[in-house]
This record gives sequence, structure tokens and C-alpha cells, in this order.
Amino acid sequence: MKFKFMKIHQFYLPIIVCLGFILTSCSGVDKSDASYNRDPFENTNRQIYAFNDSVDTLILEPVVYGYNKAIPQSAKTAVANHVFWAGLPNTALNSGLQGKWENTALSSLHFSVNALTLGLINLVSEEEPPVSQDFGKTLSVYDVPEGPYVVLPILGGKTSRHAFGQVANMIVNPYSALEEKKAISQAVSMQPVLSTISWRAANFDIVNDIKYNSLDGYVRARSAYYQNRFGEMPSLSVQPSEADALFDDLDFEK
Amino acid sequence: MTVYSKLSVLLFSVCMLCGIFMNNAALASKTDNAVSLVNELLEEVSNIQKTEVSMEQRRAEFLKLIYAYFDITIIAKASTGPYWRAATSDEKEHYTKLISELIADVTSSQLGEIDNFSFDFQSSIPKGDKMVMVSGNLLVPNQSITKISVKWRVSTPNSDIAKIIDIEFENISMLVTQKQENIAIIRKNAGSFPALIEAIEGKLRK
Repeated sequence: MKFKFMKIHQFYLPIIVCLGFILTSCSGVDKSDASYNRDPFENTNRQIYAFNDSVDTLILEPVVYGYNKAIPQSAKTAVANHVFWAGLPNTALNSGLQGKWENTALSSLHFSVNALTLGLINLVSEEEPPVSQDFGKTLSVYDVPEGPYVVLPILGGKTSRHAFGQVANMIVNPYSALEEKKAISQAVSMQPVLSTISWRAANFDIVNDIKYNSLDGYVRARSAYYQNRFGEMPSLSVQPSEADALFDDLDFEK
Repeated sequence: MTVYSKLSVLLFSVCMLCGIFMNNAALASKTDNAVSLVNELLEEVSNIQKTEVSMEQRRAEFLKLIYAYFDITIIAKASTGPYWRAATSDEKEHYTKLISELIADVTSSQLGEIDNFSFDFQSSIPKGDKMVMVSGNLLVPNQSITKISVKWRVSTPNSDIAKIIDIEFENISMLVTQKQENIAIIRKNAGSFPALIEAIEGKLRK
């Protein structure tokens, strides 16, 4: 079996190069000025956020607006199902690395059965679907520090660990084993575009709220990312969340 | 052991049991109040959404709900962190009014035309002796996301009073997010509280 990584790399190569560039040449801010101590490269991050924002406004938002208007809800659900299904091999792999055998079995089962419909229709009548896992979460299980917050072109803001995990997920993508067949190869190349459109469509109002209704969109996006990611992290579920910490410190007397 | 000692032990045990019972009863009453408050609020929101009114009227209705169901003073205090103490009483009062309007504004625009939703209650857990967390799923049929995990933090300083102080959607706390935005703006303006007030006023004018 011949493994080909180039399809994936061609799409992400500029992003990976940019990631390396950002991490080596970030302009930081004075610690007292950093609005968040996990974000030492805020100045550079804000510039990339502004670039991503422009790309979203000029390309993604109009495309997704049309997608939401033209495509019926059932078809959008099918696309979202397919994107979820396509991520299941990575979920199975990372669940195994995290020792979550039940999730490994469940995601393998869902992947195998739903392969009959390419994941477009969910044929497994399980009430709870497998929980998505990625390499960033696996690294957190092994106590790898989360690293500073970085905003990547197109991919958005993440911890360095999450960004590294995303690159690792692309490299060890189980689909690379199937790339000898042209149709599958093309389908694999479409995955990042499809998943981006599907995600943006599902979160259309939420992302627009961050863009247009916030006092500082960059800070709101970063805050939402950290809180949401914290809720998904297997190793952090026993620790208090940021909201718990806020209320623990709060003096309720008026 | 004398009769007197036996009576003392018995009395002590009865007092302890009463104390535990009363404490449990107070906690149960607080959690019940918190759940009722959330359900009442959702019913009121549903009624507003089902009524055909202008966006401006809808916002005014939401503002009334915020004053009735939310502890806006705690929200104002928590959302500005250490800068609350440094603000003057006029600034505090002005900010409290503006943050209420901002929440009403955001809620009315986020809910849009959604008028069909239900709350699938899951649990209500006391967090310390002054707060209860009510958790469940908001079920919104015919939308791109049909099930949203929601947690309501309800302040319960005593058994009679219950007010909402924060809502978490999919682990994202509205209050934590607002606090971080507010602090970023204040810091960007060299610690100026009026700069935050100006930014919110600007946002509300748009």
C-alpha cells in the first residue's frame, strides 16, 4: 500500500510555513499590556485575525450565506454527517492513544457501518455518537503543555499544542492509505473545504455575532475558543472552569 | 451516665438532626427556586418570541425580563473585574444600565425569529451556599444546530431570592467572555473605565 501525503500538504503547506514563521518571529506585547496571559504574541495574532476576518467577509460568509439559503436543511445535515464520518478514523486513533477504548470501538463501528452511505446518512441508532478526538487532546492527556495562543491564517486561533496536533492529524490521516484511487483522492482533497463550509454554516449566527456584535471580536473569539476547548478536554474535566474560578473569587455582597 | 447526661446527649443529637434537616430543606428550596426561575424566564421569552412586535419593542420586553430575572448588579461587578472598585458611583450606575441594554440587544438579535424551542432540564446542583447551577439542553427544531447545552448560574443568597447571574452555552460563559472583552478595552485605554462606557454606547448606537 502506497502512502501519499502530498495532497494534504499542498493544501496546508502555506499554513504550516506561516505557523513556523509566526512561532519564530512573533512580536510580543509587554506582559503588563497583554489582555490575556496565555497570549504573549497578541500583536501578531491580531494582525492575522484581521486577515482571517477579511477572508471570511469577502469569501466564506457570502458563500455560506448562499449555501444556507439554497441548500435544504436535510442536505446540510447529510454534509455535516459526512464531515463527522470522515473524521472518525482520527477519532478512533486518538481515542486509542488516550486509552478510551469504548470510544475507539464506537467510532470504528460508526465509520464501518456508515461507510455504506459515505457517512451521509447515519445508519447507527446509537443515542450518543462517538466523541470527536484529535491529536491536540491526546497530547493534553500526556501532560504536554498547551503553549501560547497562536492565530493561524485560515485555520484561526488555537493553542500551540492544538495547532501542532492539527498538523499531526493531517500527516497521520488514515485516508492517505486509500489515495491510490483517484475518486477517493479527490474526495479527500475536498475535505478541508467541505468541513470549513459545513462548520461555518452550522455556526453562521455565532461567528457573525463575534464579528459584528462584540466590543472586541478578537478577544471574544479567543475567550470562546478557550472555554469551549476546556469543556472538551478529557484531562481538564475535573478542574474548575474559568467561570467557576470567576464565581469562586466573586464577593456577592453589593 | 446520669439521667441529666443522657438527656443532654439526646438533646444534642436532636439539635444536630434538626440542623441537618433544615440545611437540606433550605438547599432543596434553593434548587427548586432556581429551576422555577429558569422555566419561568424561558416561558416569558417564548411568549415574547411568539408575539409579532417590532425589534425595538422586543428589545424593550427583553430589558424588562433582564431587570426581573437577572442580578444585574452582580453581573456588572463581575464583568468589570478589578476595575469595578476604581469606578465612581456614577460610572457604576451608568455601566449597570448599559450592560443591561447590551444584554437585551444581543439577546433580541441572537434569538431573531426563533419562536419554537423547549428546555430539556437535566440537573440542578448547589455550588457553595449562594449559587445553584441549572443544566439542560435547549432544543431548537428546524435550525442548523438543534440541541444546545445550556447551564444557568443562579444566585441564591437565601431561600426566598433567586436571580440569574450567568448563562453558559456549550461551555462558553457569557459573563467570562464579556469580562475579558471589557478588561481588554479598559487596558487598551490605560485603565480608563469611561472608555468602556463609551465603547458600549458606541455599540448600542449602531
